Amino acid sequence: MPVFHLDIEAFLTAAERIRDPALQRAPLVVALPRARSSVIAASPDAKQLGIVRDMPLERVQRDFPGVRVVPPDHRLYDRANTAVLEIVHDFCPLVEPVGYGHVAMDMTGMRKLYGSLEDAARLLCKQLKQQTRLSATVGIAANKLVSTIAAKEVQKNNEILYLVPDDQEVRFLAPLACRALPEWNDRTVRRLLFELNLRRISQIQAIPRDIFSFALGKPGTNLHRHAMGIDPQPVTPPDQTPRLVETHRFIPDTNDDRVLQATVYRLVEKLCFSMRAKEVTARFAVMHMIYSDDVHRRRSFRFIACNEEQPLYRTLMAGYRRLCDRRRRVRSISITVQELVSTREAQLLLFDKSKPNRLAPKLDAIRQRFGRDAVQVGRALKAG
Amino acid sequence: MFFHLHIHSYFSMMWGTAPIDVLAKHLAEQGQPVFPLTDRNGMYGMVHQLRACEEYGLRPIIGCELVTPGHRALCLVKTRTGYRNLNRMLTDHYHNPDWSLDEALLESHQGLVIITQNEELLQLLHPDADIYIDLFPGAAARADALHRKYGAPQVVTSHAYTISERAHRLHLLMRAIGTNSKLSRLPPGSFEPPESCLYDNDFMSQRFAAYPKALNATREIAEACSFAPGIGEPIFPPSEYSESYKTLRDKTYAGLHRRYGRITDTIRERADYELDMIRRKGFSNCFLVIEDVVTRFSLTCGRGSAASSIVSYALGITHVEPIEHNLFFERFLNPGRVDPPDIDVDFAWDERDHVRDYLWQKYGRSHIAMVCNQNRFRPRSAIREIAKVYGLGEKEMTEMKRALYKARKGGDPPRLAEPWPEILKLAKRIEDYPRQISVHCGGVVITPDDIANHCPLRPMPIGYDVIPWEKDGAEDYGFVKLDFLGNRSLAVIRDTLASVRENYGVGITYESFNPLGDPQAKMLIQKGQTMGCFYVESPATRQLLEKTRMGDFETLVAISSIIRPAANKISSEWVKRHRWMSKPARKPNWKVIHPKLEEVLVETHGLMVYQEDVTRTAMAVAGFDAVMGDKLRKILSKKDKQKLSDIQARFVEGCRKNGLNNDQISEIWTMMQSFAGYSFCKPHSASYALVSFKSAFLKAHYPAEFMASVISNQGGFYSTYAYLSHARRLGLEVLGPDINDSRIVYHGRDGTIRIGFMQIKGLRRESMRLIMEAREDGPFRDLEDFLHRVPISLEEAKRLILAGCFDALESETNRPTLNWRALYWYALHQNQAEDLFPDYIRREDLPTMEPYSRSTRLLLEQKLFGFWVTEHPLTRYSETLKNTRRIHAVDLPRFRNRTVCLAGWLITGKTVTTHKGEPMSFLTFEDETGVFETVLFPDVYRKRAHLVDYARPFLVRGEIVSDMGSLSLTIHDLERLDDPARRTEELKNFMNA
Repeated sequence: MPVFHLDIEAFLTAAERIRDPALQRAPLVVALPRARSSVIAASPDAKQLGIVRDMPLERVQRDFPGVRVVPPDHRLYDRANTAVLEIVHDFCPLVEPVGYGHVAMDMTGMRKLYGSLEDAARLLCKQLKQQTRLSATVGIAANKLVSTIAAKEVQKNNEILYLVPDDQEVRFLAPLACRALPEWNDRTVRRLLFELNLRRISQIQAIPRDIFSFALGKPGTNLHRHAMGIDPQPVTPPDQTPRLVETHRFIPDTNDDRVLQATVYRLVEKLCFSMRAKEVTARFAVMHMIYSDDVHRRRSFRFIACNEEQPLYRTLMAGYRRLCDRRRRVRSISITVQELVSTREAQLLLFDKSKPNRLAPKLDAIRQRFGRDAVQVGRALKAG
Repeated sequence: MFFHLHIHSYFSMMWGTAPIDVLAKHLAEQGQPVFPLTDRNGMYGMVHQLRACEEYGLRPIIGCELVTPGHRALCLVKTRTGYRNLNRMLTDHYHNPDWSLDEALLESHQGLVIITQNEELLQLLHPDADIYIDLFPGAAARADALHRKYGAPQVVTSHAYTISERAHRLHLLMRAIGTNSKLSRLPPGSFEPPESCLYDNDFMSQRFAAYPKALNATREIAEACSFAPGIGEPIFPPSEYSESYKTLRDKTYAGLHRRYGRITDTIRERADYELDMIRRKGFSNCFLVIEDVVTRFSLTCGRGSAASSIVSYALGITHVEPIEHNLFFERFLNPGRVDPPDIDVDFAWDERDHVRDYLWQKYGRSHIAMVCNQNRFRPRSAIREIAKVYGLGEKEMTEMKRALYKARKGGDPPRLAEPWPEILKLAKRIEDYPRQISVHCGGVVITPDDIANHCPLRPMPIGYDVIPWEKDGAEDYGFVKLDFLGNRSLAVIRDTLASVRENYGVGITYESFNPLGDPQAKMLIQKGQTMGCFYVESPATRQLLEKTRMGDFETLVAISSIIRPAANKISSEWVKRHRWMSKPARKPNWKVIHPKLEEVLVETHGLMVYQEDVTRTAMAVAGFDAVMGDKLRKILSKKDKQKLSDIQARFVEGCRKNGLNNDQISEIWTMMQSFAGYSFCKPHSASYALVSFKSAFLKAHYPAEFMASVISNQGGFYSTYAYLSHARRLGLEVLGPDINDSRIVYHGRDGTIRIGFMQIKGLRRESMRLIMEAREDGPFRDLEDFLHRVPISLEEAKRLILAGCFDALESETNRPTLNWRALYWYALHQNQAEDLFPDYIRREDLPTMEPYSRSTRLLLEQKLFGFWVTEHPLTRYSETLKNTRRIHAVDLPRFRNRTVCLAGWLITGKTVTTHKGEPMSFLTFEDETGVFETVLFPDVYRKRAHLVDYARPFLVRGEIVSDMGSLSLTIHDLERLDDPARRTEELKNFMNA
């Protein structure tokens, strides 16, 4: 199973620089402009200065006065990432997006199409460069883990691809520092490696796996497996179930419960309107709040399939207090309804005593004709 | 005629919104002759109320609204019995979470007027108690129904939580802060309606015109509630002796025999005079109470003006001989002094709880309580709390501060985004509002009768009850406050003496050893080498000592007093004059401001050094009497602008009458202003200077033991790292922690200091105790023996290994390999799951690891101890420093008045404001050879202040200035050695080394 790992180095800063070429002139950092925030991403030239992810922004501004700081723009990153994924999807059918600028691709059976794997990788990078102006590296190996490490390593040599031949994983990994392994992100493992003075992967490989097992339990076994280049995880495409989303962004942010609850009702109205237009009902909803300090709160609700405002609003309100339990202002609320089922296929209740809602179709008709805000219920008037 | 009977002040904490003064003024303007204060579940404002009533000519009515879930009743005090009952009910309410208002009132309604709408209370108490039905705006129908049902009389009240309806929003805001909520989510019942305000009396009369009886009842109740506790009459602690004065006299004379051996006429006269004064003032019991306490604890230091008393000296409360050191008793007690003076005693910080336990056990909970602190909103906390209610956080706060700063810099009016203007306005209003109650650090009051006769007692988390008033309120009420405070340096001296006894068998007792004549201690003080010594270790004091170049006790007493924030000019002048006068047969080469001051300030060379100098100067030049002079001293220290300008006017007028010209008056007044904030009287300085001298003696003779105790007791002026560096420069060897030799605290012996387990971060105190306990059975043989004998966690075991505790015991094995052994041991003994521990892994199978590199070892020291132990932190930058032309701290005297460059590790600093309002800093650095002081003047400060950070390496360039022999560097420029551009290269070299 040859796996490609496509890695666009410093994706966020690269996207920022494509949008605004003036940012090329100085080392660039992406961070929220607020007290005690930390670096979200740093450009390669910023990394060379010693700036790393999660470094406090205050320190960056104090110690590196020439560095440019821009706030994160997730819409831009989403757009760029979608463009990358579109190209990758055209290139290979089995794709797993791992994060911004990182894609795993199962290249099994693709040799016939592209010739050698190296040629395929070069072609992919070329297409990406031409169409998005983003530079990428590709790691090629027998599994996701080794290909990911290979794609990262190749960046250090300013090359675009690295192929780890089959059965050469141990040799490839041996000289690398332990930080190349995914377990490095686990603080406990990282600390243990430091305490045991294990700096290179070869040192881990030299110790029997059983000893790691009793010292660290399951994480230790995984660490040793990974150090030996073993990773059975297949490339898995993401789940793509239909859903409807409505979002409201408050300007300015607010913490007034009356406004927040009215807004939730407005969003429910919009969702129900869309569901009725599509003749579907939902059985699952997620309410997501973003506070002004960028704290996210999410809560999910399961309920009897419906597409009417009152029952859905009541369901959401049952969890509202726990979702909105902070005094901080709320920046945005979004509600997603999932598990959509056609009204014609929906399971009917055996003893359904509810009366048919005759008002909703009338309101929908008015809204269709005069716009969504043409008619409103009183409780939604305070909406932000 | 209507009288308000139900009024809440801001002492209904987080409920009420009106300050007491404002309420009193409002009522006086309304023509209401009485001021009832009925705060919610508390009497925190009673003393303020009584004072305000005096000021506005109102008659106080004492009361309180008792509220429990589901019940509330207003209680107004008619008689002394009622006052006691109310105090007792409040005390029970605070102590018992299940306290029932019904049952309490059924038992203790005597002497009280009760006003309520609670049906259960009416049913229980009517007609036995003096109970009324509460008729307030918005609740007339219910009041009528209750009246029809029970027949109890009605009375009109207004439940005034605010002065006007406009202030209702402020009330809601306080409630949102109080309930940690937001304005749109205040729980029902957690706030009062807008009508709960202090409506005009006429308006209330008109509104309830249909209830003439209920309106008349307000007047009747106001007339009936005539009791108010008298304030100002001193309440002395109880006596355990039938004749306290005689006992005090006997004990004093016994003490004088012990202290002096032979009692001369001077001593007898002084003692008799003081005893007579103490008897006349009724202070005998206070002395006996304190004498009883101090004799039970090892080290004490009486401070404050009480140190001027030979009686205190004889009783062992203070240790400075007052006659020899010229301490005037009148500063403590004199016939004109109206308020009771404080008697403050310091104990070793870790013994203070035992002192309290002893007192509580001796006098019983019903006779003793601590004084409370009424914590109030300060500007910053007010803005922060209101901003939180509005849903704003740190980010928005920072933005707002930046906008304000910019506007101020540009001279424009600030343009702040909504809702900040409103928040700032509201914050201004709630500034100084009481917020919560906490415990005063040492104030205790003891009463002969039940303390609940005077006030309610509230339990605090530390386990002691507090009275509801702050120290000033307590004194105004009449309580005689005794202060029992904690002092770290006493513990340092105690621990050093114990180490000396243990190491060398030398038994020195604190009370008996008199170091004032010791030449080594004097030399140490004279050179300013007093790091670690009590009260004289700050850079400013050390420099002052260097300038003075004298190490005698009298000089130290003066320096302890003159080293205060606003006395820079005076201190320099004093040093010059003091040095001049130190030579024999010299006459003053200066002129005293006015001849009248010549005699008054002869001891302090014509300058005001001690607090009493202010009083005496005012008496001499402005014709003040002793009481007025003392008042001036107090006002100067309390910074009340209005009172200060009033008394200044009187002072100037007095001076003019005595023929002083404007320049003289201004010069004297400026000198007096240096006593603003805090300042000391001579007895206090002398008492502290004695402790400083004892510290200096121990440091000079037993430096290892002394420095170890300084670090162990923590809380000194410098960091542990700075003390250890200083110890090294004294020639002491600092040893890393060792599992068989370290103790919990640092330990000094034979020129070495062994780091204690307390320095290892992440090691629990309990684990340290377990290690020490296990070691009593013999030293540990190896790591496994340790793990068998000490039940601590794997994490802690690893920390001990990483800190190098086993380096000596397991000299053949390096730390990473020991970590494997620890992991193996824990897997073997604690992890019983077989799949995690296969049989075939033996200890011999464990890998042998490489030892840590030098850089990793230093990194571990930084992480586990917080500083480098084996190397100076500047060695990290040796590559950079190799190419830098610099001098060392030890070479400073050779480069006077020259511009030089030094590398230094910033160990402490102080930022002050110049008289122009510009900030500047005094920074203390150390390099491999010593400590050096620097000054960062405003022009350089503006450019470089952002670089200044403690425990960082710097390169400083500047000119060496000698001020009367004390050297300091005036910084022209400074840069960080760990500047990132440098650091990248430097670290690479360092890590490769």
